[in-house]
Amino acid sequence: MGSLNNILLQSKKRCFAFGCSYTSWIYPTFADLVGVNFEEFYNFGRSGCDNNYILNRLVEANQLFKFNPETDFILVGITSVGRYSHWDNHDDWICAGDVFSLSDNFKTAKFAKTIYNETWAGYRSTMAILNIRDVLKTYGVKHIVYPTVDNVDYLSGNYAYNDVPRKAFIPILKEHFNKAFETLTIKTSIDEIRNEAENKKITFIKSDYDDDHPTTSTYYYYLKKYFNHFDTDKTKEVVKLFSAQTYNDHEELKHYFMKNYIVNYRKEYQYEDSLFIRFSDAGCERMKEYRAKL
Amino acid sequence: MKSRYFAFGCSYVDSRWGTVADLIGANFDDYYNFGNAGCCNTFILNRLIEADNLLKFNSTTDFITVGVTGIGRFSFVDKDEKIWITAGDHLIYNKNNPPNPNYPEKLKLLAFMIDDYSYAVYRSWVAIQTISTVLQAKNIKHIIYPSLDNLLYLTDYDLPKHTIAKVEEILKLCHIKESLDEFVLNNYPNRGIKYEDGNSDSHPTQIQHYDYLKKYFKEFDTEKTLQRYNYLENIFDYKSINTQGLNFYKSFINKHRNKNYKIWVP
Repeated sequence: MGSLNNILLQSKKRCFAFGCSYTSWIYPTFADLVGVNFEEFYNFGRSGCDNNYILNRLVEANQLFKFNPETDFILVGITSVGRYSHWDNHDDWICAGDVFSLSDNFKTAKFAKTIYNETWAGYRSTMAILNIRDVLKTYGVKHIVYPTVDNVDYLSGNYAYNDVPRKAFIPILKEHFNKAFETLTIKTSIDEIRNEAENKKITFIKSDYDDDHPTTSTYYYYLKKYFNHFDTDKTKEVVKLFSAQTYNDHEELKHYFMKNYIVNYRKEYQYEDSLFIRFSDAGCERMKEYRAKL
Repeated sequence: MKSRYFAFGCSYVDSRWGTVADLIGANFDDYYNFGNAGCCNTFILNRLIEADNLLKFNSTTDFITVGVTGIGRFSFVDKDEKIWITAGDHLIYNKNNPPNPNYPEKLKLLAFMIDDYSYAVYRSWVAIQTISTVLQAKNIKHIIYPSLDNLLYLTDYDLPKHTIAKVEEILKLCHIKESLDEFVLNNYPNRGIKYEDGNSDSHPTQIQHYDYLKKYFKEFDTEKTLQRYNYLENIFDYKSINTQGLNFYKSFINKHRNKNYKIWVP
């Protein structure tokens, strides 16, 4: 891992991150902790997205930014297999997370019940991982591809999510998914190190639910374990800023994140209008608001 | 080392009779046809990546053609049958051209629930862009050409500017600009075959495929290609679609296409 870290440190100009909510959320993720070490950091993570969305964004970002092997570094966080992202005809992405477990009021839930299935989902994710591998090789840019969510349940079956039973992959698909998985830079997912990182939830005083995502300190644990050359003073500074585990509510944390991280380190919102598929998060409006105040 | 040719696309690549791919294939030691009737461009991309994983593309021996298909398609693995449903364009309709009532119910449902023109264009753009990028990087000699005419996406659907731009980019990624569809429309009074039993099939005929090859794939306008064309014409069974399909499989596919691989999901 030492030699990989040395290679990664050679490129310090632009960093691009792709993935789901484990890449872009309402507080710093693993990608955000790495990204602070670059002159420009673009985080194209999207909460609830599938692996095909991640591939699509990667291809799209290359067209927009023309990846440069001399200056760029790419992070790709592979997400859960049981997802299906699609573009709604109101010009927005629907990224509803694991569609097999959606409640009926989601548009995508009807699709999951009538059409989507584990075999197709497994094939789509396997091909997305292989396509991501191939386009990254093609771009010639230094990169790391790592699993964020633990997909072991899809491979094994005998598991239910919200009382919805799942089926195991068919054997040939399991074989090829495993082969594709073997091409990842790191095989251990962020989910899998949560226990050893003593992951604690973010709790909200004025809300009746907590946040189930890994905390910034868990992401920091993952970074130190696998990519310790990014354990810099800047990274430590961000970890310290987000060491609190209790906030009033989601909104307070979002605004705190915007004020203390996004306006300082992220650049992707400047390109929102250039992207084929726009960001749908209210973050764009909030970003403009904050920039106006600066 | 053996020369190898891989063809990817829809029914304009793998049909009930000889296609441009089958004619090009005569000039190679090994000919693989990954065409699939009715499939979408994302399916074509995935088959290409699958083929690379199975058969390891080689820049010194291999040649690849990709026939870009209709943008308004959506291939999926059926929940019950566990096989691919590749039922053609479900988005090509308007006031004067209603949806085909014969489409599988699930495909109609899918079109109704989640698909639309811009999403379809975006999917095809990512697929063709990725195919082009990967083949260039692997340094594999290849030709991307449009099988179906997708120009109606520029003219008929009043799509947003950013979607139109993506359609234009798809067309730019094609080495040949005239689709097989347009070629047939521009050069022949009729298309398709009418069988003796009264049924017909509107795909471009073997002579139309051969003429397209002569115009755009000149290096394959060889004696071997002519011999194959003549063979395909000689074995043609005009009795019915089914007899021709069976005959084509037995007399051509089994003999001339390399099937020594196992795809992941049938």
